[in-house]
Amino acid sequence: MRLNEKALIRKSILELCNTGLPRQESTDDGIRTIRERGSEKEENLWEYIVALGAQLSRPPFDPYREKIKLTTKIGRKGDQKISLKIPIFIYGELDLSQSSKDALTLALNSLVDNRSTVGLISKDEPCDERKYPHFQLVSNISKISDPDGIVLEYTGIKTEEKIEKIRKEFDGPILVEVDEDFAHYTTRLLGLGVDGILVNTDNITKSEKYERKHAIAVIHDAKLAINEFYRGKENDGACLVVAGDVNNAGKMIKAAGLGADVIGYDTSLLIAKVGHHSENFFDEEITAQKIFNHMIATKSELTGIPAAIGYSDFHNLSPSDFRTSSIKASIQGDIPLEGVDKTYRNIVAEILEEYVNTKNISVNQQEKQKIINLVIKEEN
Amino acid sequence: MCGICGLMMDDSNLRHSPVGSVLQDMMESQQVRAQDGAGIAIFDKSNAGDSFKIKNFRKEGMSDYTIDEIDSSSENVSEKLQKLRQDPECHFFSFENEMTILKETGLAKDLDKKYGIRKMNGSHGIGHLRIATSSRVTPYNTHPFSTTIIPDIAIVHNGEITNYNMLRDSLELEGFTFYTDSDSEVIAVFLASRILKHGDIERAHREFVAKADGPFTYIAATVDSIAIVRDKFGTRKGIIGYNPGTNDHPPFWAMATDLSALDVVGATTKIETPHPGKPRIFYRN
Repeated sequence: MRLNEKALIRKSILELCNTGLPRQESTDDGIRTIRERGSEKEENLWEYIVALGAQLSRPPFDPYREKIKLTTKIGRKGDQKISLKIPIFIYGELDLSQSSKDALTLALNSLVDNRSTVGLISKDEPCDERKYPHFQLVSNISKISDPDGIVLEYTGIKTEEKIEKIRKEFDGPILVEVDEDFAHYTTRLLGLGVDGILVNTDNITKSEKYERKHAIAVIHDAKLAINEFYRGKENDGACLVVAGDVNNAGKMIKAAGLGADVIGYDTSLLIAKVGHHSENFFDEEITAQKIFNHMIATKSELTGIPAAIGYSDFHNLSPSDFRTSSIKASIQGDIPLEGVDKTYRNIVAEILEEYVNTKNISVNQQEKQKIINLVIKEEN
Repeated sequence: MCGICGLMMDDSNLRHSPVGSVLQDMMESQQVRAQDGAGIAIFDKSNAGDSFKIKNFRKEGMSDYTIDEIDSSSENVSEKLQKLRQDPECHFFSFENEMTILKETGLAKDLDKKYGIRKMNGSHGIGHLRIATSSRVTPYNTHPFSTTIIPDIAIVHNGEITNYNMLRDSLELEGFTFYTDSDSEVIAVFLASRILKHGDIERAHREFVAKADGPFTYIAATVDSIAIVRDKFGTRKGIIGYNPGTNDHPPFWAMATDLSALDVVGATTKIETPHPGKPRIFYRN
């Protein structure tokens, strides 16, 4: 965690103590503002997206009485799948202190014991006492040390050669952390037998390609890239892991609706959330208990919200379960607009269709798409 | 709060069994549940042949519509279906060989008056009474739903498939076409796509229950089977009974939303409720 992010957490707590008044901004949003300072991204599009509650034609489930499913299988091959009971990977590149790592291991093992398995993605060698699935983040394939899964960072065509090599020797799931050009090569990766892709929205929205776009555009585009591989055939379970700007249950639910199968929860934020007040006296067991409690609370939120929308499975959320008041959010996430229940793209397409018919102009489908894309680019 | 029903004659001499009459009685007894539309699908072996009927609504509207019946030899049926899929004006009705689907907005007795349902014979059939909750009151949103993927499959449904959008998106990605905006159509398309893939109807039902979310009960009929399926929590009703037969009609299995529908046709023995999430299938003799 960066120093200014750490300071923000401390400041926001002190502010609360001094004034006793509720804060204007959440800690997550404060950190996001710091991370995006200097860029042109001013709007937090997450805030313009709301979920449609259950209704007469779509009654809610009772999460106390009816079992709401969160389980996610990672892996496309039948017998090699890794199961997560909560669709979360603790993920981050932070160099944690040994005591923080020990607390994390304790917490993750307790979660497994309580049928709430969460995965871990880290560069470290998997520890022997682990009960949870550890996906090793590797750049050098000679340093792979018996993990449950592998995460490779995409660095160009060489990564594809590495995948071919690893696939011959490693039966477990392989994920690839992609860059902003994922649309060009995701189909090839899945063709090589990769089990899913990981997008870090914080990194990708910093790229030139996504300069003026939000995390929701990255998630939406990544899902489209996976779907492209499955055009004309049944999806055999390739998953989309989304990390970055998805560090609370509300965003996780919205990300799932846009296509995320698993969420990469920032390790640094997790440790900061549960351990910030005990820096001088870091107790592994207390911290582990706090991590455990935090994950169980997140699990409750992840089951409760889909149930209230009318789903018994977290993974059944789709963009049609949300509405947005922002044209940008509608364009970037293909989410229907409030009041009209249509996406901005559909509205433009309908107006164009009507215009073409009224004026009796001959325009083919390809040309229509070009015009729609042009209008949308102007608005976005 | 739709009403659904179905029956399978338990007899080898199926050609003259009064399926239409029994179905009509079951539908009328449940009319209180829904009044926006009524429809039936009846399977009659004597209709089986080399030609297919492709029925298609040509006009939108409450009652002003026509049905195009296209007799096609099996050689050119694919070509006809391909044209239909590309026609934006098309409101697909049914793809039939042995099966006959008839549906209308309004009451069950009006459907009978128009098409003479009570006179129809066959081996098995399903019926539906619709109350419109999520899509418009039109003949093409009325059940039973069929598909252009394979002929002779029909479904009737009570409840909601809440993850309809997600299932529809993935089926469309696989290349299957939808013709209405009803969530019920996804059941027919899903089952037909899986029959096409592996040919096992029981497995197709199990796969649907595993993937579908929401409160629902549906009855699906194919050429040689009829199945009643409830969601995994059993949040929608469904009941099965057996009529041991009389001199006027052979024995039959009947299934419906309300017990009253079984009562009215004397299917009051071997009463059972299908287990939530487990398809209960009856095969033709």
